[in-house]
Amino acid sequence: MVDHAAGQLYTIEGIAAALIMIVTVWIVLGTTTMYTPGDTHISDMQLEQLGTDVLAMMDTPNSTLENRNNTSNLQQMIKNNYSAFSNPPGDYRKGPELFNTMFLSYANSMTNGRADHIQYSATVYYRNATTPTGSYEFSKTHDISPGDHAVRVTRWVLIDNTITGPTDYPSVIPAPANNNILDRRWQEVLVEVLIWRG
Amino acid sequence: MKNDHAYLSIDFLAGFTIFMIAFIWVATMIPGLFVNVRSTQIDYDAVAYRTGVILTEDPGWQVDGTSDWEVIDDARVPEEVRRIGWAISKENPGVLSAVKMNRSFCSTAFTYPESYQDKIIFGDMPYRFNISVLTNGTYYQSVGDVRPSGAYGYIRRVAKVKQMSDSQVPAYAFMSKGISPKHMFSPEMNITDLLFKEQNLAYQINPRHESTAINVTNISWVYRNQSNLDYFDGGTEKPVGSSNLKVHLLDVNLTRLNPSEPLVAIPPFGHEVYIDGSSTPVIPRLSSPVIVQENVSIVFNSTFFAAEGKTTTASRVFVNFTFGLWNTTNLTYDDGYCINSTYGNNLFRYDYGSPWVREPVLEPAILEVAVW
Repeated sequence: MVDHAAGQLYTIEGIAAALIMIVTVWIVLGTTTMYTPGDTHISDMQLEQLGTDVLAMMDTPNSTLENRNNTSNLQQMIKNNYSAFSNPPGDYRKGPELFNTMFLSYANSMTNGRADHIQYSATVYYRNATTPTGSYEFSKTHDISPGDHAVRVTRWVLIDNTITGPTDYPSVIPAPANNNILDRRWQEVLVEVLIWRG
Repeated sequence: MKNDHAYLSIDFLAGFTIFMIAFIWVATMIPGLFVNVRSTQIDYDAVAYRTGVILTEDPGWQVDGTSDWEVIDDARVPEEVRRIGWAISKENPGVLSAVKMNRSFCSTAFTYPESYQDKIIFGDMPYRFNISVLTNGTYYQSVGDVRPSGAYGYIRRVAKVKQMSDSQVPAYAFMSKGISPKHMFSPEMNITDLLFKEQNLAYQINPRHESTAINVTNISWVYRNQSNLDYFDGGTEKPVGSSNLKVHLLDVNLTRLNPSEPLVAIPPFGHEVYIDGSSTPVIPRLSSPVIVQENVSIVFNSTFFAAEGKTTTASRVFVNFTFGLWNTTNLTYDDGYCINSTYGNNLFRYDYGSPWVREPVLEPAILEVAVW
């Protein structure tokens, strides 16, 4: 009869809707692994945070006097690329060597007294009069190899380049040949550090 | 014709029931979708990262909306401290306050692990954690469980910790030009000047939030050089050998000068006076004179000046040391020269740039947070 045939459609629709919902959830549940990214991303983030922290702390003056004179550790290290100076007191060495010691000490220290094994390679980018930008290798532990998985951290550092350095070596400039190229003014140089565990 | 309006078909009822059962079943499965996301490494790492950020970049938060949570006393901590952060201020991320750090490790104020889960770690799950700090490569502080051998979320931050300021005042720099049996030496701490001359909180000497100390040193110089006063006119010191004079500390008291108010005494509670490097403080108000060989130190803890009724940000504080020159032969106080602020106009100001004041320095620290 016609009346009974119309009623059967409701049951079929109900079963069809139920099946569609269950299949949808089944498919969605099967793909949830996509929402948990692997460890690579997390360790990148940790390394980046650590590198950013280390550069920020090296560029934080240690006292009122250093703060007023714009002489954080990092500023002094970049200014004294060729000349030895002392910071911390008693440790007379050139800027890149002091950078090496302090960077590794900050980056590798752990609270349990053990040391991490972080490697780095630091480059300084600056502006000069003839070419828009120049760069020089500042300090490094060793060259990066293709197998190393490195992250990049940077920091802008304010450098007073109005002061003339020692006669044989100017302050910021990497090579004596560039002596007359870099502008004698306050410069914001970019310190770029590649960090990896090795 | 048969009229079938207003009848509910049994088929419809069956279809609708099947639909509803399936719908409810699917709805209960939805939360399961997020189980994997929540309980794996990514969540622990995120919580560890967040905790690291709160500790190094946030000054914390207490119930009145300010960030001075470290001054709240033990009994009120559970209700009034909302978030524990160690940064000096929002403007100085990475520069930590030693006072806040020490306070957060205080076991009389914070119960482990509930207080920390509630005020540092946050989140609905009762995460287990380990927070450790190593300041200047030597000073270790930690709270939490031993890290598991399996997976846990982890972050390491590098920061700097602001150390307290103090002053070393050598007796020979503040000797009297006249003689008297009793001498008063009154270092001045001008809180207004200290707060406004250096406005960057990372480098500010702030007696109202951080500990300060005044150490009067080289006191033996006083009785060794009673007859040798050309020393502080540029001559060289000639040790006189044994002397029958001893320096007595007769009193230490504090006075406060607020704008348009008379000079008033500050109650002698909460500061500590140490003699000759002894680790036991003498009571602030001396009952009898004390012999001083080399130095007298007065230490103000971080909550001393901010306590009710002690100082305001506009106060000038005078720390008055009264010394007497005791003759051990005659058993009387004799006329003589001593450290003194009045004779010779030797007022010592606790201020920036003074050769006798050590301004706050920042020391490197490593912070590690593990969450599982």
